Amino acid sequence: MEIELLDRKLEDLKVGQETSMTSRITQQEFETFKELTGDKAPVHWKDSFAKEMGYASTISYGLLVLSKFSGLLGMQIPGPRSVIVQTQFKWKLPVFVGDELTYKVRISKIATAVRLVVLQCEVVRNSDLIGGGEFQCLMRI
Amino acid sequence: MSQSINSEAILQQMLPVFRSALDSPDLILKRELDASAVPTWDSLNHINLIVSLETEFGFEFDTAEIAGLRNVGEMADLIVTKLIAKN
Repeated sequence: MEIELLDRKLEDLKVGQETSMTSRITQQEFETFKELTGDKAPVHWKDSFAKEMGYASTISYGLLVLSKFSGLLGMQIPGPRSVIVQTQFKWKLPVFVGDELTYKVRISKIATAVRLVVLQCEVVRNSDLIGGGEFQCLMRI
Repeated sequence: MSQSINSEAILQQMLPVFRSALDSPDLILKRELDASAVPTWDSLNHINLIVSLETEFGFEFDTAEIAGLRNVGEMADLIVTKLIAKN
């Protein structure tokens, strides 16, 4: 996945600025994430177990879905001068391998005195809201 | 109304903000209190505290204003000054 690097300073950022991208959860990412995290929970790998839990089939890792915000935040808004210091996210729908997701972030507050940028975020599949939440990023330089 | 009376009232209003932002439900606010006396008052919680105070009092701090604050009392005085200027 290629994301354009936009080097923004704190004074370049404004409330209401937003960016988005579309990305698919691939089988390769899914398997890499399993090895990376050691999470071999059957809800992700065993169809019958996932169905017993009420899902149509095995579901993707929630944190794999969430991890893709790192690209938007680090590369575009707030950009490479920032680090994440706090986040919260609520999942509303499961994600399945092969799903194409749209990631959106929008600046909702800038606390200039402490160089903090607050962003609202959401993940959408077609018109369905997969989940949403908030990131707080500190502009270190 | 004198500034000291206003500062005391502001201290009362600051108390729940401090307790929440610093995750210290039993915290007692005194004018001389500073970060060294509160184990949970670290750099990240300080950011939470400043943002929460801005929300509580409806204004924004400048970097220079908060850089020189030495304790809670000076913070309360600054809030009083900014509230007076705002009104």
